[in-house]
Amino acid sequence: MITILIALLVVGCSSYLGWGIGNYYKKRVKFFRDVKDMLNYLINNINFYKDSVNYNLEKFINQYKPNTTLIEIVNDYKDKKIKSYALLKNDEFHLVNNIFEHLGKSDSENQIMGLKNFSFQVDELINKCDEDYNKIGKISNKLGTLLGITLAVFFI
Amino acid sequence: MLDGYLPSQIINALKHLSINKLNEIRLRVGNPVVIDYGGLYYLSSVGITDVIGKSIICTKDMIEYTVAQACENSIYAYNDDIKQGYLTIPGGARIGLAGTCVREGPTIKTIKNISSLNIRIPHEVKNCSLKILEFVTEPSIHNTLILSPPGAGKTTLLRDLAFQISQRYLQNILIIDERNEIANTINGIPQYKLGIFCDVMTNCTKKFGLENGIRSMRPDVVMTDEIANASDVQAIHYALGCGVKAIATTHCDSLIALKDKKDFEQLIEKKTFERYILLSTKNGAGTIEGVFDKNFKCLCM
Repeated sequence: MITILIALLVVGCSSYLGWGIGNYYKKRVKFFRDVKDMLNYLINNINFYKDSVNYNLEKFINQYKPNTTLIEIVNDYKDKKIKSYALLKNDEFHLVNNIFEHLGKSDSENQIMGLKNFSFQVDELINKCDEDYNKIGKISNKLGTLLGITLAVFFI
Repeated sequence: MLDGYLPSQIINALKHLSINKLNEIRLRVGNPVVIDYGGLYYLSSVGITDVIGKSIICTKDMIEYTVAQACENSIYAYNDDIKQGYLTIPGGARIGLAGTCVREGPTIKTIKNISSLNIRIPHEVKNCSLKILEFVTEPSIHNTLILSPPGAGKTTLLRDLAFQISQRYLQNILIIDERNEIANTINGIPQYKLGIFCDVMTNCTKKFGLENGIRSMRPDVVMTDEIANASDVQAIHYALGCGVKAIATTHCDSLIALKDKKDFEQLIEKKTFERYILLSTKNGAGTIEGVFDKNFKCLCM
């Protein structure tokens, strides 16, 4: 009975680990897609209404309910200190930091141009994250469970 | 009103003063902060002082902070105002800017290297127009031009006139508030009491506001601040041609100076304005020097 319980525990842990890795990649895809949505939202709004950055960001968060890391970064921006987050690699953090540093520093024409440039860079990251998710993220889910089952079989 | 817009050093110093007596704060990089507090004084960490050595010295960071806060860290949202040399913050305080204009051809793109700020604190003086109200409204509302040098209370008087005419005479009033000083709207809602019959168009030129506002809002009276050039005068002519009454203000310290203003020649010749109200700062801002009719005959001193 104990052996079966331990075997189930091993399967559970291994699956959870696999799911965790998969989820990490999934979250990264969602994060950069949300950043892209945010940039598009800002471009449209600045182009038409010219509302302030903070007002736009608040409206974006209320409407789009983005990834929690992005919400935290927006809050950091409002507090004027953006921290690094585990979800982001160094260069990605610099890009995100640059986006926020750039906000509100120029007239609408240049602001929109700058945001569009960032948007292209974010597109590349989305593609890369998508690839990573397909390559590693999805497989790690399955591998986690398989590894768990294998270990359990050996154990029994 | 100024909390969150000025650096903490200045805010802390201002806490020792009464905001009601404060008219103006001047920040110039490398120079003492000067305030108009019923007279010019330096601002020190404990209030006002006559001694330069005790005064707070304005730094570039202080100016940058103030401008960034006034712009809500969104230059693009305020660049049209910056180009015109001012920013308005909630509460109606107007921040005048001086720095280097960035030009592209004949147009100014923005102002950079801002080195001086002039922060003018508005004061809502309720019923300040009662003294002259009958001259403006009896037997019917007259086209009126309020004249005064800067800082003598034109906008305050105009604001109160809007309130009184709206409340007492139930007239639909359209206020063309180019610089958002009269109504101080935040998200479209006036922060000053203007009366229940007032409509406000902000951030638009007088020409645009008067032409479109008259068509769309059907006002009985239009009000606007600081007529300055031929285009503004034309807009007023347009409004009067539509059968609407106009009450406006302009910078001018005497009737003679008004007559010398080239853009105003037509207005004076055609006797467009039936009343002129001259203000000064002789006994403090808002001193009424006189009310004159269209022939410049004095009706009241």
